[in-house]
Amino acid sequence: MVRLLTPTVIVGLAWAGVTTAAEHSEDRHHFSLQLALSYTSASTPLVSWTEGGVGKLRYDENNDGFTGARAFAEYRGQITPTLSVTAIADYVDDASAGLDLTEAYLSWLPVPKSPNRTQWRFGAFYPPVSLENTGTGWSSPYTRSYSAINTWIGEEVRVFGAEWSMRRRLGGPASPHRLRFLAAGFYGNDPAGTLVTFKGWSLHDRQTRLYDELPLPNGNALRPFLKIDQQPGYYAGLEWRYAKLLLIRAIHYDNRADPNEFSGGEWGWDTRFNHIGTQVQGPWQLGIVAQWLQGNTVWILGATPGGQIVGSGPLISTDFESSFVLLTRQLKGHRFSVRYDDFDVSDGTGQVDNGHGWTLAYQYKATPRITVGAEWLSLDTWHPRWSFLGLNPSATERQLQLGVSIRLGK
Amino acid sequence: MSVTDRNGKPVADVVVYATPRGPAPAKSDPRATAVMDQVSRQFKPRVLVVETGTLVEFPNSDAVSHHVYSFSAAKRFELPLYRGTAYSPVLFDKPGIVVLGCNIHDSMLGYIAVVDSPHFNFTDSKGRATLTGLAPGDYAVQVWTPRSREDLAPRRLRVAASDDAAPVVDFQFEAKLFPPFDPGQGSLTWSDY
Repeated sequence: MVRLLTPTVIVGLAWAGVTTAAEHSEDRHHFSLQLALSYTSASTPLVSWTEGGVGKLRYDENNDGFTGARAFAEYRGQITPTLSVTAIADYVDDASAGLDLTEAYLSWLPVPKSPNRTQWRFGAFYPPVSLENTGTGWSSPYTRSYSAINTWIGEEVRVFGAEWSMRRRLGGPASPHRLRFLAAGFYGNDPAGTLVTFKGWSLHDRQTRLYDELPLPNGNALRPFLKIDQQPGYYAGLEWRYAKLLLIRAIHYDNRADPNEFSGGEWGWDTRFNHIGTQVQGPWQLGIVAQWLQGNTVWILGATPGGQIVGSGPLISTDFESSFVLLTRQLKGHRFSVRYDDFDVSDGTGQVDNGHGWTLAYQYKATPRITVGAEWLSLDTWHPRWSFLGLNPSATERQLQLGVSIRLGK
Repeated sequence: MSVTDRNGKPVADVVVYATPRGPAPAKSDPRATAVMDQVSRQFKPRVLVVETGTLVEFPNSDAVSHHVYSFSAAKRFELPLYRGTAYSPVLFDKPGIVVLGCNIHDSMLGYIAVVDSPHFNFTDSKGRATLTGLAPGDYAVQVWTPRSREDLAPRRLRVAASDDAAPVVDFQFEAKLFPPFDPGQGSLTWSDY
């Protein structure tokens, strides 16, 4: 039973679902290609974390110019009227190139027999933390680079398990109040917390695929979704919605990993977080998205992901916290968005990663299939340990991206 | 007929219907049919009134599939995943409020008010509705809107053969009404999963 929900089995099941559903006429598929011209500058010579450095952005000064940021395909198909399959395959333009899945799951929506409506998901998926990544392929409709919180969710958080949720309209079928409970049990995601501890928070749009190996600044590699121990993790949450004006969702996540366990080249990192987020439709067509996340991970000193067992050191507790507020306004085909991010990582020795950032973005939907946009991002950060690397511990990183997104499919 | 809220302001789009007291007149045959369409991921109309015994068609005019269902006591039914006109009309043979949902698009919400009378109408923006074709006799006048949290008691209406001016019945909701339906053309893409 424990072995039942391995990534391979889940992806296999999802694939079987895709092939079954592909014969149905109710399927939907999107294909999206995102290209950009990217220019980065930093006040100290930083190498992007995607190349094993400590730079917080996806690109550094050595990658200026054309980038094939992302190509993804999202497929949703009905297997039966109440059972559907979703699979998202991603191609990214970096060292871990190739095609891989970011999510693959089955959704079961039994037809309601009472005012309570239940929904199940089985497979590999994101916990519903992000209120920003509401586009296809978990992209953001507002900016190209995600907030620090959702960049981290994209980097290190994915579960292999089952999720149950139930929504209820409060006060009758016409009431604008809707309450939703959700709970999930999962395996895997035991090394979550490694990257935010070693690298700190980031702002970019690279989502880790299910089998990706990520570079760590210490030269090792990380596979954040591995199952290290036999203890299942869980998350649970509550959501309140008022018509199309307000949504508030709170979630508690705990991977219940054992920091003394080592398997497949990775250590368990006992990571938990609390999250609360809101979406508000304000006056003057102004949309507001805000999220706050506070977490903690307990890990064993000497843990070298991807390396030898040199553990048995003391357990270290690292705290991480971030928040952001995003304002967005859509006027016909034009969308303007601005976001302020704030973040912090600290352990027993004090702060190890601290900073804030501004993101300004403009998008224009030139045709139903083509969106062009520009994004400017500025990050001011402070990391006392960077002085060991010969870097200035106080850094400013700036990035300008001019991009185009092309969508195909129905 | 006129309908106001607790502050005396007119309420639009309220169903007003008059049911004859005493033995019901014979129903017309063949059965009447009505249409509840699905356009842009909304039921259209949002509220449909039909006389008991009416057949209702549920065409789907969207490019995406819908899965229409109701668990209301007046009519439990389900039209699994379809586009266009995949199913025969559904017979509504019991009076009551039938709440419609789509199992794929949870924000879709529609209502069918099934009433024992052919005399029904909606209030206009001034909160007024006129019922025509009432034969002389006694009627119970009732109102319904999905915005209401309460059931207002029926009011008696007597139509005399000699009436020149139509009698007027006024209704007032005492409890606060839910806000009117807003299709929500905002700047956000709402989180759903």
